[in-house]
Amino acid sequence: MPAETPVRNAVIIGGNRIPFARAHGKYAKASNQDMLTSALNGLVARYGLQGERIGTVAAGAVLKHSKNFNLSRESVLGTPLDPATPAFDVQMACATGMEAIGSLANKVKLGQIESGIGGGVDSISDAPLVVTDELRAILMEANRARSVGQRLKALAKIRPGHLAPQAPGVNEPRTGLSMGEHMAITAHQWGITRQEQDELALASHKNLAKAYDEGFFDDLVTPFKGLTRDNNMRADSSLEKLGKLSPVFGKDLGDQATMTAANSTPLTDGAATVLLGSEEWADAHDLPKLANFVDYEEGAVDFVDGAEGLLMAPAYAAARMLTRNGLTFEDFEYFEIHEAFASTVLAQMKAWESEEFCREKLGLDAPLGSIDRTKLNVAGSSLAAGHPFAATGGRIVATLAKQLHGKPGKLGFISVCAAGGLGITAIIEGR
Amino acid sequence: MAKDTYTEFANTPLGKRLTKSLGLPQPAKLRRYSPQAPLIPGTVVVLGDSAASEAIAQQLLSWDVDVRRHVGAKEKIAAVVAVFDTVATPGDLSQVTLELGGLLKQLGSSSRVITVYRDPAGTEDPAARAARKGVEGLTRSLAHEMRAGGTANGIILEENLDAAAPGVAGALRFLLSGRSAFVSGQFITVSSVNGSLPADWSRPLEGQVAVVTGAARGIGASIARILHRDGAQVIPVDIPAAGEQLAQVTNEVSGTALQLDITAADAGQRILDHAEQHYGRLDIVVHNAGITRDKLLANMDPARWESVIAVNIESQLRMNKIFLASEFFSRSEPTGPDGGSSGPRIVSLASTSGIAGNRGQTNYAASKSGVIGMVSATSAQLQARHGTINAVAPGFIETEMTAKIPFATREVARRLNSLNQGGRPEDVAETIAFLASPAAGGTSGLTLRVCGQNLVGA
Amino acid sequence: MTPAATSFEEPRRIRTPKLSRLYLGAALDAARNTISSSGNLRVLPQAPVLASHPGITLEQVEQYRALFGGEVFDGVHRRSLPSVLVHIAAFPVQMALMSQDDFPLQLMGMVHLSNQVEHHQPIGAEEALQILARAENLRAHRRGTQVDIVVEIFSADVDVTADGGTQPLWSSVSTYLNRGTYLAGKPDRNDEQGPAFVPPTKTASWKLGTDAGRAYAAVSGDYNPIHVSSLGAKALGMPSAIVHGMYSAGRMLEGREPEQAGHRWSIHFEAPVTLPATVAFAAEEVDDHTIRFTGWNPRKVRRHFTGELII
Repeated sequence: MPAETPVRNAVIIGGNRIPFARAHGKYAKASNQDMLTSALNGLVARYGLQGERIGTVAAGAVLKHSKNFNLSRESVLGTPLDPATPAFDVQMACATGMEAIGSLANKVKLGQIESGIGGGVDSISDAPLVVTDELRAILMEANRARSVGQRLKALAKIRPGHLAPQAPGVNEPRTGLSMGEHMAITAHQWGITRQEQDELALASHKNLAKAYDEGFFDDLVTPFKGLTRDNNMRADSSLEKLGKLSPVFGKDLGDQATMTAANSTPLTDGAATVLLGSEEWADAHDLPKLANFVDYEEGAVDFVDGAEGLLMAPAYAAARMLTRNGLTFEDFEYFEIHEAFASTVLAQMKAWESEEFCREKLGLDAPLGSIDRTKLNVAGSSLAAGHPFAATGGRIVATLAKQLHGKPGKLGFISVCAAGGLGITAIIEGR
Repeated sequence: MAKDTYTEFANTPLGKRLTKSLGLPQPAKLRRYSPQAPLIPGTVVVLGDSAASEAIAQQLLSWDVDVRRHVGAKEKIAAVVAVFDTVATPGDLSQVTLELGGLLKQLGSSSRVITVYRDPAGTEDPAARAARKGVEGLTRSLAHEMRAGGTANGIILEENLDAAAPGVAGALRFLLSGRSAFVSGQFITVSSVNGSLPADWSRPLEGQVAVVTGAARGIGASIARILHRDGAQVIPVDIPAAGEQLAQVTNEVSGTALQLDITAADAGQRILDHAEQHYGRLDIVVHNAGITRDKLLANMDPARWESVIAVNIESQLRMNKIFLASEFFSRSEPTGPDGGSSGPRIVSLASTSGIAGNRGQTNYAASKSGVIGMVSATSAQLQARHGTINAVAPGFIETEMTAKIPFATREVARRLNSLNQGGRPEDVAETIAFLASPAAGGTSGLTLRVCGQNLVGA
Repeated sequence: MTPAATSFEEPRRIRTPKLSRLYLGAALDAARNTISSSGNLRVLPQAPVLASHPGITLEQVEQYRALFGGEVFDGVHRRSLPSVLVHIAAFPVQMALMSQDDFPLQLMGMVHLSNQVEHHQPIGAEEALQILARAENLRAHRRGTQVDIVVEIFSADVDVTADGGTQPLWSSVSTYLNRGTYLAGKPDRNDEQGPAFVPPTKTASWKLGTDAGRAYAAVSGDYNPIHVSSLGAKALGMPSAIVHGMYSAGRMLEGREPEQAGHRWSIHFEAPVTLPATVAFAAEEVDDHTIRFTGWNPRKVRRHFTGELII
């Protein structure tokens, strides 16, 4: 594309999410569609979008029922949005929300759409259970049977052992390792200590609680099913309490194991959405313009045989994105690094500080440098809020956009790692 | 909302017979407002021969109402407007009053009697003031005597006010219509020529922007719906914890939700900012949010006392101060077809507890009496921008909150008024919508009860 | 490993046998407690066996793929069959060789010690093959007697007995141990203690259910009781069913073999994987051409196998 092609701003107008709930708790009986619809309803209510035809709605879920093949569209139809609002589903593991929002921002920039809603939802509590492959094969055979006899013959093959349902795995399919086990390996390789992980986790809880108390989330969160705040948040946590927990990942590292339930994100249910639009659309609808969605970059690493850590893709994406935009970490006012695990954030930051890593792996002349911790996840992040996989992108974009609102030209950096060695980084600019 | 099974039963053929023979209260099904229904379903008789009486008759005629000076002895009538504005001594009351009395048996269900007279405080002449006060007394008593859902209310005219003022027409229309279904034995003072009549009476709030606090449920939600129905763009406000219901109400009224703790120091500014961002104007503020923390005073703890005072009155005082300091909360430009001007509106929720007091509610009553005081004192501050501030004091209203009252207590509370039933949230909302409308520009500083003429604190 | 030998006896042509019948025969032998009798007990049969194979069916390929969760064989992007599937095709011929009356070691209870494969040329599905198997190198082991079974696989259309030899598409050396039978004497016991096992950084974790043996058996036809039922395993002196060694090989190689072949790999088995099991696995890049594999029990820190792939 020629450099002079005019590209419009993609404006972040605002966001809405439901409070995130620890799995099998408050939202145990809510489906992905229930939660996404509720988050959309809150967004519609906040910005007066009733009857509005939105350019498109992009959202997704990582763990999704096959019946939710059209999750976003079905959710839209449950809201007061104009039923002529198109929607499509996105899936990029934990980066689903970021990809949905980023791709919509591109559509706005190109003039393809005037407005868009991006986001995501995930439910561990309502995750689809799958029957065993054997049972599935038998049921499909019975389904294809042409006579009752054939059907009975097929069904007679069912054995008790076939009936145990299989929960969806959160393990990496190619390694059989859970994300936590992968991260434990990376954390060990980068020499990340228990102490620094616990400190990061504590800061996350304190920052989130403070933001809630200051009313920061008043126009970002709409309660759902009686839950008014993220119920994983522990405002009264302390390093002593965190220090007492036993490691849950990397246990084969023995006394070198550092990852506990507190410095890892819990399984969580929730949904988040972000409203984007062109300047003209925002103005015509008297809507606020919090920030511009400047750019985003997808990354992936070869983690299968351990050549790189599973959750290190953002380290690479960041380098490409910063180079493309001629920016350094010095240029950023705030950093939102998704806390899949405390060690994820710390490993990424160590990598950016490492001359060797930046030279050998990122092909840079000098390290990207260190990140000022007072600018990091200032309104809390996933360790405190929880991490309903596909919802995290929406939470982060809306939070950061609000932080940057009223700071025209100030930049915010986003990093979200994802399963499969994926990751996304993004830049947004206050206005 | 609590279900009033008794009223439903009493309105069945069997129920009617039974309740009548047993001498039980006979709550009528009240005529309520619908934009499609006629203003008043039948003939309106206007009594009195003053200029004001003529002006009122003309006004009614302009609304295509069947207006008569006289009707036959058997003819059904829907309302009587009895104009007493020229009474100078108590003896002057008899002619119109007796004429009125003769018509009462011809009134149909949910009928209306409206008395019109001059403000007693407007004269220093003892006989004149006595006569005027006399109208008040006879109106209140008549309200008790009305049957089948009928009401009696008064319109009090400022000493020199032209009866053709928009405020008089507005009050008249409100009292005749189903909007005032649960208002009885009450008086609306019209003290200025401010206000304007709408081009379309079914959309009296067209183009206006209204904030409603405590809008997530109950009366607040009903206010939001009715302001929306009347044409306003609504900003429903409630505490963040009530956000889910708030969103639901907001989407119903196509508004923009604002999750806000109204006791926050910047609450008023955040409301102004929100209104400016989304609508570029703010015309109506309804201070509906309120809490109860009932306890006998002997057992009252500081938290109960202070939270009720903070939410129910202090927050309103703080927000009003911000609104009144803002040029933004203003619209003195002409709005009506008659060129009348109409300023901003503030309507606060008071309570009959604030008028009569209630056992266990010293804190609540203090806050609600406070509202009544605040409203009367703030009125002057709004004059310059032709704005008004009024309060509405609901009586027993069937809400989620009153549904929690034990059955027997609730049943007594329900029947303890002239209409023998509890009101509905929309009855309160209709009154608020009236006071918020441009047509109510002549009325300010008033606390209007929506209580079916509750016996308590009358 | 040597290229195709040319100096051995004319191969004996056999039909590819059914493994189930071979196991039945072996079990009967074991029950009769007979040592295969005919011929010299210390001498391996001289004649290789040669069997024609109609080609690995697409159905079998799909079963194999489903078992290991690999990429689909679409005949374009993935056409070359995995080495372990080729091994599966040849395995009955190995078994037939070892079941012959002149084979000196009893088949039942034979332990697979290692496997080395050279995959010279790609082999596709439904490609007719010839499978040549011979026994070599009968020798002592500290716990019994070991033997190499050499398998070479050729296209159906080449003359495997031709002078000068023909390069096989695929060849392997499988080393088996017959425990407790010291036909070749006892070795020196100096290689008893290796260095203590220090596990590498794991790169994967295999969760194997109790049915892992049966699942591999369903694909390979190798229903050796030691793999498919814990009763069968107990009868043969194992605490419970153990997974096939070649299952580990298949899993270790899945997705790593080059499409154009020309690679070689090996696996050496140590502690058996008793089911159910969690196997910690590491794939380490030694250099640009070599990957080293290790599988171990993460709890007991005991090595199950080591392997290597050289491309």
